[in-house]
Parts: sequence; C-alpha cells; structure tokens
Amino acid sequence: MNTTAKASGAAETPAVLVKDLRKNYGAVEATRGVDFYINKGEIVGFVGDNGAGKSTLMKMIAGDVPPSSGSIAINGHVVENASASWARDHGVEMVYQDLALCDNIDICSNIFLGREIKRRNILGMKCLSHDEMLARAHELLSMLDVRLPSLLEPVTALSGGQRQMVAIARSVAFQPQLVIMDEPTAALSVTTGEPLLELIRRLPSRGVAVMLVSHRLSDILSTADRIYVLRHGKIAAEVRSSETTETDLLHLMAGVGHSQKALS
Amino acid sequence: MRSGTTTGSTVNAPILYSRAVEASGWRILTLVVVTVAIWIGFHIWTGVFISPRNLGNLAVQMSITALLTSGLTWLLVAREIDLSVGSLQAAAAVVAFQLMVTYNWGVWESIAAVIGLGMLVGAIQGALRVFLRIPSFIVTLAGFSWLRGVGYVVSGSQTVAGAGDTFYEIGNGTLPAPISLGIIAAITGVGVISWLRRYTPLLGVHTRSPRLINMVLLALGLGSAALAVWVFGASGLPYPLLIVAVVAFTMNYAAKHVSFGRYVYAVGGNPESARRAGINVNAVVLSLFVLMGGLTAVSAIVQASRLDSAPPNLGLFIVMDAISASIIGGTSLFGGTGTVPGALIGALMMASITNGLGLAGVNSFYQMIITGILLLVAVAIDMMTQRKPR
Repeated sequence: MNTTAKASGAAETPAVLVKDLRKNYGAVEATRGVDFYINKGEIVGFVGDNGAGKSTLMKMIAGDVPPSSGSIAINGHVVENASASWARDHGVEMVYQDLALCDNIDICSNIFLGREIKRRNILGMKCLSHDEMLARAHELLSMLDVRLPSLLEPVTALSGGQRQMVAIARSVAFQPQLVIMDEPTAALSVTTGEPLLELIRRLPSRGVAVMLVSHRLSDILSTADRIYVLRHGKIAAEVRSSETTETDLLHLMAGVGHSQKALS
Repeated sequence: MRSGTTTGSTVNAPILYSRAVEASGWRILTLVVVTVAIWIGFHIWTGVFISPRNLGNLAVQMSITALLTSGLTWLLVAREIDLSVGSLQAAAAVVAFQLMVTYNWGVWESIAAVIGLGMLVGAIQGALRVFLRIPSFIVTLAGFSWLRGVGYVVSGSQTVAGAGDTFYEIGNGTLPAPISLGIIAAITGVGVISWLRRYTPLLGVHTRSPRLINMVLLALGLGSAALAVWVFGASGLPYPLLIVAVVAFTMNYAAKHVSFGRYVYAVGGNPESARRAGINVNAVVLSLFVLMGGLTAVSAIVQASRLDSAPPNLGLFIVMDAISASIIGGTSLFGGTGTVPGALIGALMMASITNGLGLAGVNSFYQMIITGILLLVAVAIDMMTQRKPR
C-alpha cells in the first residue's frame, strides 16, 4: 500500500524533490545517490552518456522501478512504495520514447485511454461519453496549438511528429504536476522536431514541470531552463542553459576539463 | 455542426470524419455484396436458394458458428486464440444431456450449470495464459484434446438423446409471428431514429454530416429489415437467431461504448501501451477467455437442442469455421482489428456456401476445399493490408 506524507520545510514546494536516490541491479549501481529538484513551471534537462543512469532515474520518478534507497517527493508528497499508478494519481506523467500509443485506436481514445469520461445511459449503465471526450480532446489540442486531422482517425494514420504531439497532449490532459519526456525528438528530423520543442516550451505556462531527457544537446539547450549532467550514476554538474554551450555539456558528460560546476 | 464550448472560450467543433471508420463501412458493405452475389449465384443454380424457407434455415445454420465467431473475434482482436471451442462444445452438450436425461435435472438448471462450466473452463485456460504465460495457442490446443476426451468419457462414447420439449424448443422453436414483426419493426425504428439524430437536424442532436457510406449503410439496414419481414414474417424469428442477435448487439455496443470493449482493442493494438495506460491487461485477457467459454456453452446448448442429442463428436471442425468467419469478416490475425458484425457476415457467407452446395447436391468434401480456399484468400488479403506502408 502506498503511503504519503506531506514534506515540510520549503517555502515554495518544488514539483519534484529527490534526495540521495540510489538504485542497484544486483552488484550494478545504476544511480549512486542522486539529488535534484524541479520547480513548478520549469523545464529541466537531463543529459549523460549511455549508462549514466538517466533511464533508471526517469523510471524511478515515474514509479516504474522502485528505488533501492533515497527519497522522492512529488509536489511535497513523499513517495513510499512507488508504483506507476500512484505516480499517475499524483500528477506524474511520462511520455515514453516509444510513445506508448495504441496505433489501432483513434486519437481521442488514446488521449483518454484508461481514464475515459463516462456517463450513465438510459438503462443506468456507465458508458463512454464520446461527445464530452471529443470536445475536451479538441479543446486541449487547440490550446496546445496542435493541428491534427479528425480526432477519430487511428494513430497509425499520423506522422511521427503528430504521434509525438498526441502523446504529449495525453500527458498534459489531466492537469499533471510533472511530465517526464524520454527522448521526445529521437525519431524526428530537425525540421519536424522543432514544432514539438515549441510545444514543450509552452507547457510551463500551464504550470507543468518538465523533466526532459535527450541525447540531442541542441534540443536540451534550446528548451530547458536548467540542465543536470549525469555521469556514472551521479549528478556531475548542474548548469543553466543560457550560460552553457554544447561543448561544455560534452566535456561535463565525459568528465573532461570541468569539475562539479555550480550554478552562478 | 455543433460547437464545443469550453470554459471561458469557444472552440470550433472537432472534425468527426475518419477515413478509417469510413473504410471499415465500405469493407462491411463489400462483404454483404459478395454474400448477396453468392446467394444470387446459388439461386440461379438451384432455383430454391432465395426463399423464405431456405433463408430461415440458413439463419439457424449460421447461428452456431456465429456465437463462436463473436467470442473468437474479440480473442483474435486481443492477440489471443481459442482452438478448443469445438471440444468444449461437445463436452458441454454431453454434460447438459447427462444432467437432464441421466440425472433428471431441470432444463434451466442444467443450462445454467453448463454455462457455468463453460465459463470455468474459459477461466482455467485464461489463467494458464495470463499467470503461467503459456501461449493461448498451446493452452487451447491442449484443451482441444482434453476437452474432447472429457466428452467421450462422460458420455461413455454414446450419443444421449431426448431431453424433452422445452429443451428442444431452444434450437428449433420460433417466436410467434406478430411478436417477431414487432421486434423487427422496433429494431428498425431505433436504428432509423439513431441515424436521423446523428446525421440530420430533424431530431435534435445532429453531430455529423452524412456521407455516402452512411446513406448506403442506412439503405442496407432498411433492406435487411425488409428481408427479415419476408423471411420471418410468417414463420416467426427462430430462437437461435434471437440469441445471436442479443449477443452480437451487446458485444458491438460494448466495443463502442463501454471501457472494457475499448480495452480489448487497446490490448490488441499494443499490450505494453495498454498496461502503461493503467489497463489491467491480464484481467482483460482472462475475461475474454471466460466470455469465450460461456459463449461456447451457449452454442453447445443451441446445437444440442437442434439435434435433440449430444454426440461426443460434436463440433469437430467448427473451430475452423469460426476462425475463418472472423478473418473473412475483417479480423486481423495480427490483433487490434475486427468487429463482431463483420464476423457475423463472414459466418453468413460461409453458411451460405455450405447451404448452397448442399442444395446443389455437391459432395461435402468440396465444401471443405472451398472453406479452406476462402480462409487462405482472407488471410492473404489481411497480410497484404498489413504490409502496406503507413
């Protein structure tokens, strides 16, 4: 059973506060005492080489993988016995690299999958409220300025960029506190990725915190407010995007020429 | 068109047209046209195919396959399969007759017990599938064998017959003609009103503009109602057909308007994505096997009632017919796609071929060849469709 306790202390509670988070897979230490925070309405990038611990970190925050030790607080609620459903119920959404969409069903159904809006029919049975879901999906996509063909078209009919946008729209459809994005532009060209990054940049205006993980350093630099660099399962550096270059990030990721860098 | 009003602002109404939905409508229509062409061909050949008496027989003949193909369609949509339906049908029929004839149970108690038994077998097979991760092909291939064996053991390899008039009526009786006509009129009326509400401003809601396929499908519905009046207006609706209609309507309604139906398709489309969306994939798959077991038991009751006996070799090849009907009706072997109405038309098409060849006096061995070829053609079309670039 999940239990939560309101974390006390901070004047402004961050959307995510992680302390000394560790995960061991047998003898392998995937993360070795990670500390970070993400404020509400902030986009924070996470970069690092393969094996640096990014995926494990994301999965622990999303409740997919339980940490070995350490603490995670979501919007001030300390997570114990994390699960994906607990995380989701407390406003954590994840946009997986493979998008986790069901290609055979329509856009609107994908957005509401698992959280359908229902109403009672004339026999008193709880049935899907198609009209309400269509109206809400349309409203959501309009607000995000996402242009798609009919909401009744199956996802398989969409382009890669459009599919990404549906996945992101789904992640923000239920007033999340935090959206975790795993390589959102990996499958897209630079041209098709730009509208998606623009959409991500608009999310903070809805009060959403974004944890953005990407190998494309230019995307991270152009989108995130702050960046954490992971190396060997630990935070090696924390930098502001506006004060950093791709070369700096590469050096930090490789551990060359820079030591632990603090924010000015 | 309606406007979707939102808090504080008004946005344009969403576009409620889908090429995929429209293509699905045309596919159904194509199946109907092919089936009618088969009817016309057999009528020219035999001279008696298109008659109220023969079409009434055809409706009852297809009902057994129709019940099985409905359940199998949902299983195939969810990327599962059940090869044991014929064997379970035999075991269930044998048990029903043993209860009624040997142990003198009442008809309705026996029916309830047999449906419960079918659901229990489905639950066992489903549990083996989801908890031990044994592929459903293997679990139900084993069921194909052990359930057939149960049928032979329980019956002592003997055909038990004569369960009484009440039981006989289930598979052979009809509703009185006036009530049948009333039911046909009511169903037609509800369909027409729903169509008018959706596609015209006449009855208030009007959410979509009608396209050609919507008008053609309306005409098809009205034509089917007229055909039903012609075929069943004098004799009345057969009970097996009514059972099929209730099952098909419920499943089709659930597929469109109930979360569970939506989840069946989501699981078939991408089980991992469905799980991440919070759907209990194991519960969905297990429920589908329980449903399949229940539907198989119902089909056993109808078939045993039609025969007024329970031969332990009942339903030897019916799994082949049921899977073929589903695939001919548009269900994909890859999962995620398929509808119960499509599968029913597939069942009707196959029953028409069997019936027509029988009327023409063609050896039943040829019917098996034609069924096999039809299945190959349907699967080939499915494979080619799946290979199309997205």
